[in-house]
Amino acid sequence: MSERDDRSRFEAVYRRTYEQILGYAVRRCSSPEDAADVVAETYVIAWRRMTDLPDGEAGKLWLYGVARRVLANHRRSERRRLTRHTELTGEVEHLYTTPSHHGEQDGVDEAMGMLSDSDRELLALTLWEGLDPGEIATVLDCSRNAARIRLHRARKRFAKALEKTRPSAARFASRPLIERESR
Amino acid sequence: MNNDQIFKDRARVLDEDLAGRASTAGADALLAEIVALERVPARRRLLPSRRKMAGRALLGLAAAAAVAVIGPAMQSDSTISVAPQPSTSASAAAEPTARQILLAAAVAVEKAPASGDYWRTAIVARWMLTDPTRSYVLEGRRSLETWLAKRPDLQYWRIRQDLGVKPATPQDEAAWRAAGAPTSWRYPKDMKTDQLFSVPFKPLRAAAGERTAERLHGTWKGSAGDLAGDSMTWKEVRAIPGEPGKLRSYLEERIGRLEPAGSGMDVEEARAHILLRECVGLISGLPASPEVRASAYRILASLPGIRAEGEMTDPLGRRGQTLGYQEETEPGLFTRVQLVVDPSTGLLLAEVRTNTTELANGRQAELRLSTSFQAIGWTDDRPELPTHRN
Repeated sequence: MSERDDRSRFEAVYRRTYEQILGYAVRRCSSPEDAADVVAETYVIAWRRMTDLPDGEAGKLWLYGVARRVLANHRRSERRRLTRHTELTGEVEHLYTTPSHHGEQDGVDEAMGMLSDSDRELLALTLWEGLDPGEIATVLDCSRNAARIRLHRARKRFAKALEKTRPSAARFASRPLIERESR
Repeated sequence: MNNDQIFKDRARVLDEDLAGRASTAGADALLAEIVALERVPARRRLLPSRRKMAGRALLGLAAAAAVAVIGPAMQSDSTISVAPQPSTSASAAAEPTARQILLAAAVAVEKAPASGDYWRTAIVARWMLTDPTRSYVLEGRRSLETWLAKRPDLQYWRIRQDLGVKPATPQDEAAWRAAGAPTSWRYPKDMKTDQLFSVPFKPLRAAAGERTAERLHGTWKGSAGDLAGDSMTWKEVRAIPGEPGKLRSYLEERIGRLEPAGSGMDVEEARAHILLRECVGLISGLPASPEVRASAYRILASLPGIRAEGEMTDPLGRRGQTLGYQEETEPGLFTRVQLVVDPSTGLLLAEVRTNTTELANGRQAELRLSTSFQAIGWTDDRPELPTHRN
């Protein structure tokens, strides 16, 4: 394949998947610099390994897989520099400083913190990235059935963790009136 | 409320915030930068640095490769070499070693205050790039203050200001005047940068910007910073072991969990480098206890490849002792890194990264990236907030 073909193919994949990969990074990184780095490094790897990059929807899942590994590892390749990707970091910053849509809910962060990294990632892939168990299986490189079972368990553990961290909310369900008054 | 929805609501951004992001200036700039990269980092395989040296990792390797190019030889079996610089050879015997400097810094930093309302970091970042015609070098500056609070009733703040762009040296200033003293620069998208800087997508402007404060939301709340790629809570930072041996095992365990990112880096090499960077991170970035920071200095003192380079003035004009090492920034691209330390306080004054580039007229010019630390530590002060807020 000629270099020109490679470029236009890469550009097409980039435009099609960028918002999703950006969302993936922003939802998981605590700073705009980190998120910008994860996005940049993911696509640098995609560019260098384009022969491995599948076409179509599978390409998106492959990129999620790369982003996941980059995220686990990204911090230290000293490519992250305050001055690299200045534009991108600036834009990502806006995503961080827009007041969030959701209200702060008691105990949710703690409950999420009680989950293992893999449980949290499974729930995030399905609820944030909107992937079905088959797609998750591709990203995590496991069988569809394993993904389904692990997802089910992760949901149960999250529910349990929530009960622990927000006892008031759990009681709220059964004793709405009293609970409302005591708040 | 359904638990799925509760989890979903925790996302920092929603898909609707992301709509249209694929065609922003930042997305365009990144795409242009990536497709300009060499596809296969083949050069890397040819480097002598790829040679396996049992048990001796990256710093040694990277340093050995780079040193072979730039001059003074380093014995591969010495953990730390004094490495007198040619210009200071007369007083070389009296110069402290890297180990001595780091150990003095360790002793000093142990006396730093151990708590306060805010963990404050104030830095000035400077970076260089050529003008679009590669005739002279420009330097941009930006200040950034970060205020992290342990107490839930205090806000996290980040205050930044662009301090403007100007010619880097008197020689560059002369070339800039000869070019008509422009105050803004427009760069072609496909400009060749040798991967030493990123091409500004919007026109670069000489004028300084406003001081702007941002309140930090979301998972920033409750976070005390990052270690080995993970956000750390205050509790987790407090639990970092202070004793040097335990700290080293703790860091190595965390680093061992990282997966190689398919970037082609040798795993051992990457891990050794990450250990060094985590130690610098503990010293400059995290609200770790004085004991932890002292131990981070002690671990640095035990690493191969760090050399004393004598006294130096940092980008803000402060004197400090310099420690240097080499870093492989991109495959085959080596950068000289200098850490400027004040051994009397144990504070890191600055980190300076230097590469060299050739200008249009053949002049070799240095391109430096630096972070100078004006403050790292606990304070009971409050941030001075500008009227302009985001």
